[in-house]
Amino acid sequence: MGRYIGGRVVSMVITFLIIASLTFFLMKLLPGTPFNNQEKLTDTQIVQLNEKYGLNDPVAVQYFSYMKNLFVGDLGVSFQQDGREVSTIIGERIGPSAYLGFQSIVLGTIVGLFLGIIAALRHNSFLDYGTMVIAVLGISIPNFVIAGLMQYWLGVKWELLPVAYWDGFAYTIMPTIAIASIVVATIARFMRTEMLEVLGQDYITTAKAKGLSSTAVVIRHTIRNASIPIITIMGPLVVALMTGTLVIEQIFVIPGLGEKFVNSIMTNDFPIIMGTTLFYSLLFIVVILLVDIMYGIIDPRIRLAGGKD
Amino acid sequence: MSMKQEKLDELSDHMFQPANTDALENEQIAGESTGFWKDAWRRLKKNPGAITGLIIILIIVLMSIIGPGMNEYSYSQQDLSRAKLPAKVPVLENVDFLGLNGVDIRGTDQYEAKGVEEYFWFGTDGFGRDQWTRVWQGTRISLFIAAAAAFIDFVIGVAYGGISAYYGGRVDNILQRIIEVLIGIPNLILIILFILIFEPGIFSIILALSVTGWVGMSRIVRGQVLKLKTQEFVLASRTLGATSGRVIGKHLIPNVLGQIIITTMFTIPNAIFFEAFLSFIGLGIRPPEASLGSIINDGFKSLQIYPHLVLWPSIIISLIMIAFNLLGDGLRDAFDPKLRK
Amino acid sequence: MEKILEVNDLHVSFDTFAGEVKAVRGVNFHLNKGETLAIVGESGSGKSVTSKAVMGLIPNPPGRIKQGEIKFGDRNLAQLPEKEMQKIRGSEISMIFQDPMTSLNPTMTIGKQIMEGLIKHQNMNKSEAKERAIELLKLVGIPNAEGRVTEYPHQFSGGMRQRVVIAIALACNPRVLIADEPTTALDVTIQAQILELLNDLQEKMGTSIIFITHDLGVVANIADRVAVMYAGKIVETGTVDEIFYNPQHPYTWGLLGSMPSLDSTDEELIAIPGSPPDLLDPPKGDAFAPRNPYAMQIDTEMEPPLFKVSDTHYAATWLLHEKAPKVEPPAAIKKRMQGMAPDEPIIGAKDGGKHV
Repeated sequence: MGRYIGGRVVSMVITFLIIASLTFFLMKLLPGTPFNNQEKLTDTQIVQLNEKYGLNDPVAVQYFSYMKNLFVGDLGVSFQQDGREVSTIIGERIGPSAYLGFQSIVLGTIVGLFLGIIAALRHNSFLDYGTMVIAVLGISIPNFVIAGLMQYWLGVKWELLPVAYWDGFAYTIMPTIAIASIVVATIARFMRTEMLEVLGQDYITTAKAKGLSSTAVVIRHTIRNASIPIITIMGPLVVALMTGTLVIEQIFVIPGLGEKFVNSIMTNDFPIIMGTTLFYSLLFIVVILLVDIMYGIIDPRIRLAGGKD
Repeated sequence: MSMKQEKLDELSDHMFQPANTDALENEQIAGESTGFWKDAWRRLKKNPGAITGLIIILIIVLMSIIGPGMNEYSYSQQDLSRAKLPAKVPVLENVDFLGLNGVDIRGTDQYEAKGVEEYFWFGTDGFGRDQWTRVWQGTRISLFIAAAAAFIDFVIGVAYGGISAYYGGRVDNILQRIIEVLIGIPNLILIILFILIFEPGIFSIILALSVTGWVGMSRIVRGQVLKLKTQEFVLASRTLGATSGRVIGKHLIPNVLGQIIITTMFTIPNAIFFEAFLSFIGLGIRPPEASLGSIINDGFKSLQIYPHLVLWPSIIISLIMIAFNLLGDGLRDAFDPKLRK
Repeated sequence: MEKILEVNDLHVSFDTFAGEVKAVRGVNFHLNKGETLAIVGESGSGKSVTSKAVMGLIPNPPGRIKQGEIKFGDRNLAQLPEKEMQKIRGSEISMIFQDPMTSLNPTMTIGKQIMEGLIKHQNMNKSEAKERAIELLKLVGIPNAEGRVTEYPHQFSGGMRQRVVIAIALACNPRVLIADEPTTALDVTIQAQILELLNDLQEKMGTSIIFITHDLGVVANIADRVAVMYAGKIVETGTVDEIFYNPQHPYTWGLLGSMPSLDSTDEELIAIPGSPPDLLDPPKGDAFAPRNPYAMQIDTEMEPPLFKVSDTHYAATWLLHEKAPKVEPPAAIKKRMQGMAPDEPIIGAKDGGKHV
């Protein structure tokens, strides 16, 4: 297992370096200078700014200083915000995004598991069909549509919840539901399929033949085994959550990292785009790694196979 | 346990003559044999969800073709004197709860207030452009982007996956390492970087969606081909001297086509969603061109006062997504050989 | 002899989209204390469904017991509520399944899987149950039982897994053990070991066994009595000797004829032509008639009753009716029948491996 994790960490570092280089060179290919938007700047001022941020150096020099700084966690400084550290800006902005992401995945997973289990246990009943309708809608209807509907009905029309901004728990409810909808739908569907699959396995018949009660068969043998593969879809779900926060933070005007990222795209603030990109990539890679390790710990077949070499 | 003996005695002698039985008679197959495609279509027809999806897709595709030409307004024709009108439809305007009578959420009839005689079926946007024309025009563009992205995914994915699996060995090894790196990069990030470089527009969006999109397709094709490769009929055809190209074209592709169609059915809604998502982060189609995503994004700016600007395109995009998902699910069930009896 | 289990006129059907599949259509048999009854038949003959019905494990829907009774002591298992059935399952009647590779939960240690039944039925606490689990593993011949009790199924070979499955089944000293093709999925050498183990355990524990198989070679090794099933019915039943050396039903002839024998290398194997009937719409008359070269007019019109051959031997074929013409069984079967002198029991059918 240790060796397996070690190997995975090495490949993770390599992937990250590739992403970092790719991001850097793609940024260099960007049309326009980062100062385009400040139309008041004179040509000499632009030259000075280019000098200040090292944009006149050869690309290779810029690349190596960028990579060197990356190793010590220095992501450079923002072009727009008067030289503030990118890492500081990310630090400030990550709070609401992390909160939203975490709340959405916890809520989504719990509701999704519950729906999936019920649907499978009541296979071909109205509960099952109802859950599947919810799942298809949750997967199909874009999160921004759900957000818009809620914002209009719950926020504007019925005034049940605040329409936007970030100021306490009530402000998190609509964004969380909008982001969690895809999680609920994906997990409910996956869990239902897994449950039905496990329910058809011979070892469930063995468990019944032992005279165990149906509750014991469901909890000890079915749900346990069915939920293990759920971990494998956590990677794609994290990406869906990231996409979700980008849009949803825009719609609900939440001062999170996603909103900052979108704004820096609009203002060509390279260091922030790069920094945030790398941050998201790192998050993604780490989540995938954790998922793999967790899968190994929970599933004895993989745990022991990994342990032998 | 046994029948009464006397009752049996009544049986007449002739009944103990040999019967004409032909054992092979019951070996004959009743009814005509159905091929793979016919069989799949038969099962698909029985799935109400999939058929509903198919019908919705057909209607929306049709509307995206004829919709923009159904009235006299063009998608870019601005007229501020008729801006932000709610929807008003002849006949249906008399049915109150539908809200198609040109009255806005404050209860004023905007058509009366602005002295507009015409009917705008989905209302008008902030520049007085006809929303009906724009929505269907946007649908056309969204569908075009999705179809083009799906087609590129298909071409690259099938070629990459097919080659990787068919040749195996070192070729497979190298190609799969490349995929591993690509999968490690969140596609969201790659798509955003791509569009930043190529300037937003229909073709850069298609390109960006295809940069990572084909990976999923190639993996599915590779998996299927690897599975089929070891099967007897491929070996048989190779033994008979078929060339690689022929084996791939005649045997493998038809067999993986089901999987490819299913994957495409899920690629299309995914591409539509991503295109809309790009509009939301400011990287979508640039005006006056419109896609469903950019129309919705525009509408969000005045959601509180003019919800109709978000409502209609939202309904269309949701319908497209639901329809493709339903059809994709239906096809998956229809092609699943495990259910074949 | 004391009857421990008696099945009378059992009908089991499955409701499918195409209609009602009558999988078991009036089965009668009994199981004596301490004996092994083999139920033999092709796949789809209803033998597994019959055994699942006894265990109360017919999935409902789509399956249901339509009529008949399953008498176990003074209880009728066919009508017992699920709660009561759970008390019997695993403690008084147990079951071993066909495929040891899939019949154990892959994410649970085998110790826990054995202990579950003990804790449920015998009110043992965890440490008692664990001790008993180790004892059981030793009993079924698993070396280093103390160490292996905490291992997972995938760490065991197929044969070892089947031993674990047997240990689970025997955990609470059941009175009846149903073995549903327990050796089909195993290598031939392992098959023999498992059969030997079952024979040993039966001797030690006095369990009655219903052994379900399609393999007549296995039957010769383990059974006292045999019931041959075809299309949801028992067509012939008798002691092992009677079935092997004096078979009466043409289907039994077919089964015996298609079994390779070590005694004679010269004879050809006889295949039974055709395939079993569609139980969605069972044919009128004798279900075997379309595949039966000896079929008579009456076979296509009336179902044959069970004709008595001896006190222990019955067969459902019109050929046993007094008006039926005398027919010659296939040569291979005739040879077998001639090998058996009347009134003289054949010794060693059960422990002789010569018919394997």
